[in-house]
Amino acid sequence: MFAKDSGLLQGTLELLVLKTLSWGPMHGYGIASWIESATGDVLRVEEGSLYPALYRMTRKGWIEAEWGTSENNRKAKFYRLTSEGRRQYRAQTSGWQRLASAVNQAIGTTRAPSWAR
Amino acid sequence: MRDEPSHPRRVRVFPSKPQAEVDDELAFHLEQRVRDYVARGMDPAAARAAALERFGDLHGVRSECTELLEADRRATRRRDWLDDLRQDLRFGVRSALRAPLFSLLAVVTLALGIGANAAIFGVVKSVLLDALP
Repeated sequence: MFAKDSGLLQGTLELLVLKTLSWGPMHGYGIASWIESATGDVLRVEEGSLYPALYRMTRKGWIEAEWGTSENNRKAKFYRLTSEGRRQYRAQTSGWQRLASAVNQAIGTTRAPSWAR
Repeated sequence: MRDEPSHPRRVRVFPSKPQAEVDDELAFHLEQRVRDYVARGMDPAAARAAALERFGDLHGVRSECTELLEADRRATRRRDWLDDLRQDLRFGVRSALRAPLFSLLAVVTLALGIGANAAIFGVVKSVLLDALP
């Protein structure tokens, strides 16, 4: 997911990770799987790039990691949102929605500007 | 799929090496992906290859994650050290203020001890050391 040439911004991946973890603690594989299915498999290039993003977000204090046991009894590293992460999630969600609706509005315009008439 | 960590908040007394921790985490990911492919009817070797391909640049991710984790560990250690120092200092000052007479006694004892030592050494130096040619 999110290969360097996929044209998707690092911030988008971070927002999607925050969204995933807002449901509860999850390991990297679960996060990747959820993002892939929730975006209709559109974002399923190079899963590996998820991990550096997770480590960066840990350093920023948005998420924290701890080792637990997965559903098939395997040792796995689970990530959870911190309170700062929850705050980031809310702020970035509304920021993204404002941006998306503004761009949508612009590219959906059918009325030509006066200089093009 | 609901899998909560079964040992929440367990403190790792001896944290594993960053490289080993990253390896464990990435191995878990690949293992799950292979398991998923095999469950869908792929043969294990092909599943392994497909999982690796889907993962992308394994070596690059591995070294980048290790570096990030090492930097994080260093920052945590530094922060812990400073926190400890601050806590110890505050505790020391508070204890000293709670028993002012005892603190004064300690200070006076130290002052006399150091003063007496210096005085004796002054005498010894002039009598024994300086007298030698």
